Amino acid sequence: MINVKYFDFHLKGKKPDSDLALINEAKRLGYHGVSIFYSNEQYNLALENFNKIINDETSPTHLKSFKIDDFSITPGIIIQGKNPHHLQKQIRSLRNKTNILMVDGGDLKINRAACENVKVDILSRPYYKRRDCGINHVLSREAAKNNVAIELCFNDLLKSRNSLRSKIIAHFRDIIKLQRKFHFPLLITSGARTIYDLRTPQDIMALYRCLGLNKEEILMAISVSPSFILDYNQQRKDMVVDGVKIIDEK
Amino acid sequence: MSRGRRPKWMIELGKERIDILFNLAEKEFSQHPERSHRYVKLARNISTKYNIKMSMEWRRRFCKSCYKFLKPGKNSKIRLSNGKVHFKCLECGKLMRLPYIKEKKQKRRNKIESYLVKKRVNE
Amino acid sequence: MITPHNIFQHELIGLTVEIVESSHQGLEGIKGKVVDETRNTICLERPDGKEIVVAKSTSLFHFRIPEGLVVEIDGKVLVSRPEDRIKKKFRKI
Repeated sequence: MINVKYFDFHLKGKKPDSDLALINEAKRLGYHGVSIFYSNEQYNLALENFNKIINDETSPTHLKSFKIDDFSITPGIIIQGKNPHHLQKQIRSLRNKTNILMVDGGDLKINRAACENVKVDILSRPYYKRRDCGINHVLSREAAKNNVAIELCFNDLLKSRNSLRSKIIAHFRDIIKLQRKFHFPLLITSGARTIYDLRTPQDIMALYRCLGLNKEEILMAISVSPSFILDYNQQRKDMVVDGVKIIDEK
Repeated sequence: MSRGRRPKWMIELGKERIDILFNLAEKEFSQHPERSHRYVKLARNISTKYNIKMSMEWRRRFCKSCYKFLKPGKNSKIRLSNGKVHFKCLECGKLMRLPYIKEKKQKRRNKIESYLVKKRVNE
Repeated sequence: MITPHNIFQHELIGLTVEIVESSHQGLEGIKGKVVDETRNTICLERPDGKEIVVAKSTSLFHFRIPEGLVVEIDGKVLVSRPEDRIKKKFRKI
């Protein structure tokens, strides 16, 4: 239990000041790393801002991910695709720009396009505004093949109530059932917009224990698969095709 | 993939591979002749699959009947007769004949030219 | 020209290779030159002259291309007949 690193992989960035507050709060709550997501238009501005902060405190590092006192921060881009074709176009243009790419799900066609694309890291909220959980056995098989993580967003539980909340819990259970069969990577995130949406890792783990995940699965979802995504994206530059990697001369 | 001609980059890649294989076959022949026969087979597989012509220099380095690598003086015999080059494969006994008319014509032309030059000098 | 971008479609015979990982532990760490290739196996010649046959699908290889770069290739990518590898489709990342 000592070496476990907790990651929160979905903070929603809005303004520079509130972002910094969010990050500090996450740090205080005991996370080891966060990933903060912007839309395509805001991304450059946010990066400039982050760069300024780092330059003030420590030596400048490369833009794609950085650390403040062992606390890793990875800015990423969230894509809202109108249709599968539009989504693919966006993915192609934004892949080299950022470290982590997330697709906002909801529509079944978008979910499918995201699951079938190797370049996508995370499919966010496939159940959003739907009557079912948004993924089925076909999509989950594709996601497992292409290593697309599927996200369970804590903010959805927090902000909804009554019947909607119960439905979302049912969707979570469906996704967990599919995960046990097909073994695609699962992510547990907070999806926080403000500091009041954040909870400690222990709280979130306890909550998802209630939803039917066991201890190992939660640890996989909150620490192993996020760190895997981070490592994998560090290597993505050197990968030529899947399974081929350039290694520097020893 | 549709039948017929392959895209250009595939053909270029295939040509490079054939070249590598034949060079290796030549290098390995003295110690491991069975390897060089195998490389000829691999090179032929590529050339038949992608409709690639082998270059002139390699086309006469393997037997057309048993597809073995030929090294002149070791397992093949090369003679000139009747305007043709005879390649005899000593592995299976097959005789390949390739005409050398181009070279002959060139020789004739050279001869006539040299005559004309001599004439001019004499006049 | 063999480059890291086309090595998986190019000729493997003649390259020097090291087996980094394998499901058979005795094969790990073996270095040698590729002398033959079939659909599922690669045949290596070790420096002492011995030949060994290695299954592609269960190993991880480090190929050294003639210019000196080292490329790590998962054996699963290479499983296909040597002449079919030119037209095989690879998943781009």
